[in-house]
Amino acid sequence: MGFLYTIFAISAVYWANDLKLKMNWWKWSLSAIWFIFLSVTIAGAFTLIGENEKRAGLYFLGLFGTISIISGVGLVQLIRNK
Amino acid sequence: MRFIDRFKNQLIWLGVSTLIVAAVFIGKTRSEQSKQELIQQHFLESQYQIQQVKQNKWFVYDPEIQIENLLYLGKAYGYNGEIEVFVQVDKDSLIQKIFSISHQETPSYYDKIIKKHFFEQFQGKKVAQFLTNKPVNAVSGATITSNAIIEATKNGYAHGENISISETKYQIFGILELIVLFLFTAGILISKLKSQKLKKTLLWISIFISILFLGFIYNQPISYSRLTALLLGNFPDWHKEFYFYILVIGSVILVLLSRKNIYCHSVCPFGAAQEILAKTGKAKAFRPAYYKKLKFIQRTIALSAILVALVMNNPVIASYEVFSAFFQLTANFILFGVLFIVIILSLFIKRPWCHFMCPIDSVFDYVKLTRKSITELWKK
Repeated sequence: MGFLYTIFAISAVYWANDLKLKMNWWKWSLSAIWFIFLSVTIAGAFTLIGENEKRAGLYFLGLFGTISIISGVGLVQLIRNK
Repeated sequence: MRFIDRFKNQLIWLGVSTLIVAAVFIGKTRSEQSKQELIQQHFLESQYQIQQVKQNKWFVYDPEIQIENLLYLGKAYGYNGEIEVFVQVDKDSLIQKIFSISHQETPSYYDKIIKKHFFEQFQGKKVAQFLTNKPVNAVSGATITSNAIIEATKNGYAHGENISISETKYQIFGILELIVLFLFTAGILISKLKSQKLKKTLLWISIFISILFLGFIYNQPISYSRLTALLLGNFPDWHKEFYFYILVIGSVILVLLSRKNIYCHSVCPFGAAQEILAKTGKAKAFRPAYYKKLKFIQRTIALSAILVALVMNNPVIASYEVFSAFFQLTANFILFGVLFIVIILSLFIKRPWCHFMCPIDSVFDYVKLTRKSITELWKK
């Protein structure tokens, strides 16, 4: 997982360059926080499902997954327009 | 053919109104039959000797184990309508069992009551205690339903024993009433103001107040189930829920007077939530060529759901609103799925729920049609 995360982090820089996004420190910080939030959501939900708490896992994924999507869309708008 | 074209609006209005009146009539007839069946289901005549003592009081004797109990039928108004409970009391006036024989509460809220073992709390409590205080705890997240069951227990016992109970005094005009009045005033101002800046500021103040108070704190939008409950004659106590009357009557009057749907535009908390989502994703208006067809589907589904609820005499039976799912996280998986789709769509399309799914929008379209039909007839 650590290897994958390293690839994600390095790729993000190239991706931002390809999309011609003007990134700065606070944009990178917000993006990192968002990515951590998304990772914790997926990890938390599937841990619950794996521990036979299927209902709780789905509720967790539904609630925090939706928040991740909304905040992700908001973050994209913010990064593009500021 | 000419007649149909000339009176098209009036004919549609008449057709819809006739269907609603017929559905109410059928629903009311059905309900009288099913109540009697329910009482017989709970106390089989082959097992119990049942003797009616008063209109809402029965003497129940089980000859096998020689137990004498009294049974009281109590009623109180819940969220959507009347809740009827049977309270079984032993000769020491201790509650043995309490169960509901009919209710019109939203299933997800009623399920909370069952899951949290609310009815079990009553067992072993002195029934007279309910006259002076609340010896059981309301279930958090289903407070209105819990309190209605407590109230029904008290009413049943008091009526059964001829005890006069002082009516609970409620603050008629409170914070919720103030909020509703503010939102209506702001909505009217938004539609009249010419300054775009002022309009925008007022709209965002309304959005935040609506979503916070009418949505998350009180969860009191106008809902399909509450409107069908009104059509079925289940009027909530105006002392307790004065805001609801302001909300419904105010919205209808404003549509009739101004042709503008102020409620959906600037009072509805879910509309406000969609506005915030639209702002987040920079959503655009969605007006495809088949817009009218989509509106027709929305209205047909809304009318069908209302008719089913009226015929079944159950305001929540065909409910498909996502308000509780969004504001209280209380709903079934299907509604959570619908909510998820609506949230994602709201990021890219302006108010998808309001324009293509909400039954309340269709209800206000019906009110607009009423106005149009009358004014057209007047002019002709």
